[in-house]
Amino acid sequence: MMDMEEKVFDDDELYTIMKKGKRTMPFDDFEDKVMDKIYYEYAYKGVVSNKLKLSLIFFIIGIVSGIALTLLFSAFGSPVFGINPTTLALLILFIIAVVGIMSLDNFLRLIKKYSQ
Amino acid sequence: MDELYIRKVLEGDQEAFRYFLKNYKDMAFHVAVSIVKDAYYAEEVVQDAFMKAFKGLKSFNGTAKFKTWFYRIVINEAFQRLRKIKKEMVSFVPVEEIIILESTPLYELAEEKQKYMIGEALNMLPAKESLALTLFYLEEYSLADICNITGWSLSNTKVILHRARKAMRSMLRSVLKTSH
Repeated sequence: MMDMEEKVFDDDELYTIMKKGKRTMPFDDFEDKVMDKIYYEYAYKGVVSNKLKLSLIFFIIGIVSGIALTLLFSAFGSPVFGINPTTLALLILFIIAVVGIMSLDNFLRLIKKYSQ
Repeated sequence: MDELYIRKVLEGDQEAFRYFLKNYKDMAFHVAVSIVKDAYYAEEVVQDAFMKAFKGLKSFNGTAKFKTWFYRIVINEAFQRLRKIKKEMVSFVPVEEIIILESTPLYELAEEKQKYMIGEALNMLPAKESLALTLFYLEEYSLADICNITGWSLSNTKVILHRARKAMRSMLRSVLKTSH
């Protein structure tokens, strides 16, 4: 029998000790838990991807409609609801710019997150 | 073999990822538990590491072995978790300060008991030292590989490993004395 105090510094000894002390995953359901997470992640990614596509479509529709509305109002010669058409067009353009930039920022962040 | 399964996973066969779980879960667990010192935390670390590996498989370029790449993820996750939990670790007592008493030779104990004692001794070691022992003696990585996986410098790795050898000896003695 080997005494701990004499030979434990030895590389071979430590090698044997470490092999003996090898710990294994004690949780039997570990594989299934991770696989469930993977399947969920995959399914979730699919749902998010569809929603992203839908939101992109609505984003484009919103921007196009906004620009069309701006052009429409600026084409009017007489005031609309008592407001000068140029002022109204500028106001709509301002709203489109603010909402558009904010949405685009969020949208890009989402794409970056889910494309990983 | 790893490359084949990586390709399968990337082609959309999620079930193929089970191959990596089967082959690397035990070693990943050993590495994680040697750092976080707790089986439940270690399980979480390994789970997170596998999820990161799954998500990041596209970015795995194959210059290193999958195993090396994956262990790097496990180690990073484990150290991140360790920082979060700030678990109170048993402080390392330098070899010189340990009073050597009569202890039971390790190999006189039953195999299960030996395994338990070695596990206890590893739990008492600082995270970096038990990790160094695990990678060097259990995984049989070279010093250069350990540097590559952990990001430590060569001289630092040598120092950690030297300390770890000494500390493991004292911890084993300490554990054996306590159990005696």
